[in-house]
Amino acid sequence: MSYAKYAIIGGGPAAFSAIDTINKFDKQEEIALIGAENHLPYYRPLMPNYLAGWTAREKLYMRPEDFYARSNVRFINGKAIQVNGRHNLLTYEKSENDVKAPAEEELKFEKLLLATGADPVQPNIPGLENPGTYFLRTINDADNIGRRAREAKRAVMLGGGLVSLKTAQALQALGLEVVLIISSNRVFSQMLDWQGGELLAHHLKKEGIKIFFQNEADFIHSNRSGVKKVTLADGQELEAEMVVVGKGVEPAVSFLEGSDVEFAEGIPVNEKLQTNLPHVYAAGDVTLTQDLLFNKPALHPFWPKATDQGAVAGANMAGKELTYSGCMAMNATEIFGLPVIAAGLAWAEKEEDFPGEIYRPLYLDSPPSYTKIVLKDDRLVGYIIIGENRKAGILTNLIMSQQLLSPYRKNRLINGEVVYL
Amino acid sequence: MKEILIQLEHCVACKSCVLACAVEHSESKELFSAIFETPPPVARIFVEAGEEFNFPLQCRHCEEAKCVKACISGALWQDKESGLVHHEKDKCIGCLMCVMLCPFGVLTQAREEKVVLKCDRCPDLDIPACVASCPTKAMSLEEVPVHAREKRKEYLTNFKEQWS
Ligand SMILES: Cc1cc2nc3c(=O)[nH]c(=O)nc-3n(C[C@H](O)[C@H](O)[C@H](O)COP(=O)(O)OP(=O)(O)OC[C@H]3O[C@@H](n4cnc5c(N)ncnc54)[C@H](O)[C@@H]3O)c2cc1C
Repeated sequence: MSYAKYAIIGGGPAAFSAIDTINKFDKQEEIALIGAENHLPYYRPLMPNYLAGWTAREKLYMRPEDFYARSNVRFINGKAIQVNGRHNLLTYEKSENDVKAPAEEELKFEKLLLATGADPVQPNIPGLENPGTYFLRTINDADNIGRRAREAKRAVMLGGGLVSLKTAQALQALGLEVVLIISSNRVFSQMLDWQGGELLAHHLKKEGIKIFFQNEADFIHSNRSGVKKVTLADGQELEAEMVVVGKGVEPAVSFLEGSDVEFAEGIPVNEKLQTNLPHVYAAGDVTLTQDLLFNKPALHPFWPKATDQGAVAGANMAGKELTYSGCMAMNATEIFGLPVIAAGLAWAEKEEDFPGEIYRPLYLDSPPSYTKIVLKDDRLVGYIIIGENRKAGILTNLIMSQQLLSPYRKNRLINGEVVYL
Repeated sequence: MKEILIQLEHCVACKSCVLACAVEHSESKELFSAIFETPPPVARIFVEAGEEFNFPLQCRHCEEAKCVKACISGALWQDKESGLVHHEKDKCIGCLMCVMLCPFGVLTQAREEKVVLKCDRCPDLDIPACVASCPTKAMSLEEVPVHAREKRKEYLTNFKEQWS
């Protein structure tokens, strides 16, 4: 058994933001960082770029190698399998590479942060267990996909979210023909409305990506060399040598089974990011936190939430009181040269379904451009900007602050112009 | 620690600062050759029109900068000593997370290069090009005591306070 005042399970942005903050307030004390991946922590969202060969491997790492010693961080490559919060104990399995050490170790801590992130949702499709089927979440995933892609000609992607679209772009850059199978009626359905989805889908098709909407993979056929063919719900068959699934993520909470830390679909936390045990904290994709627009707990698996929460949790762990008020849905990306940003109730379609005002001051096919503004009681509650977008952040912050818009500002906004005050 | 202070009522929206910024961030740093460069040089300062005033605006180098917390590639980072928010172009993938969160709307995109661009406070100059170029002294570079956090905040958002 070893001891560290601070223990963190994870290795993503939530963990590092907490480390930086703990270091700021309590530099002397050791932080044990337990991470299951057999790599030094890296920037996960760069995986599609890494897969495509646009970002070199050495550019992926979150911190230089000497950071850990400098910051009093003991990096333990292992997987936490048990947490006994009331006794300040956790158990982890050392990674396989470490054959000399015992398989299981205990760590005693004073403060614990659960920052285990999320895992890809595994849909129940017969044949998904065969070689040639992948998720893209980790470096190992990217390396495996890259290896297969060197031999494959065609890829089927399941899902129409950000990770799927970026992966589709990467695979196409590697020379594959890519088909997207999307169960809803549009791409990016979590964030975009129908019109925004149309515009983006049109752009993807123009770039050579095939898309099937309102369809699913029913069966993945394989032979000895792996995936050969995918049968869709409507009976169509698509030949392909690989399948990549991007159907969203779910909090990585299974290691808490049987522990005294409460969890549901994610880990519920209070404003200080404490779990049901006051000295056990949680931050990042793994948490269930207040949605500012819906006023109820929700999962928002995205980067800025992880860094914000990591900082707040880290400060509280080190004895400096900070609070985290909540989050809302938002996302930004650039796909085949097209910028897309959406936040809040961006998908609200018709005013009848939603007690507010919806404006679409700009909609152009070429170049693809779209501005949508969603208001409620003279406050901004959502927007979509496809195309030119420098001032998107002003809008995001208007939603977060729920500031009342002046008549002048509102009037400009519904005409597609963002002014400061 | 130095900050660029903006005085709203002095700005006449002449856009000298925009031109000076673009030239300073060009290959040649000369107006006449900069015009012909590809990609064309991009300014990182903007002249904004309000209901009553115009004013210039560039990165405020915020404390606890939202862009830095949003950056998914490690391209944006904050220098603890100077407080400046730096952007490393070769790490940037143009994902727009920072654009989505910057409350001042001062990160711009270079779409061909798939990166964002922002104010770097002109590392090669004593006085940033925008400040030096302003004919009405609407901007000035001022020393702000490092420890006076509140004071610093005031400078960052100084145009807001003046407005209301
Ligand atoms: C391809 C891709 C693109 C993305 N693009 C964007 C984007 O553009 N914008 C955006 O906002 N977000 C994006 N995201 C999401 C973003 O990466 C996550 O929101 C963020 O990484 C969450 O951070 P985290 O610290 O909560 O957890 P994670 O980054 O998931 O890190 C958790 C770590 O904990 C480890 N772990 C889990 N369980 C255990 C255990 N029991 N013991 C030890 N270690 C464990 C995991 O192996 C993992 O390394 C993207 C994600 C992917 C995969």
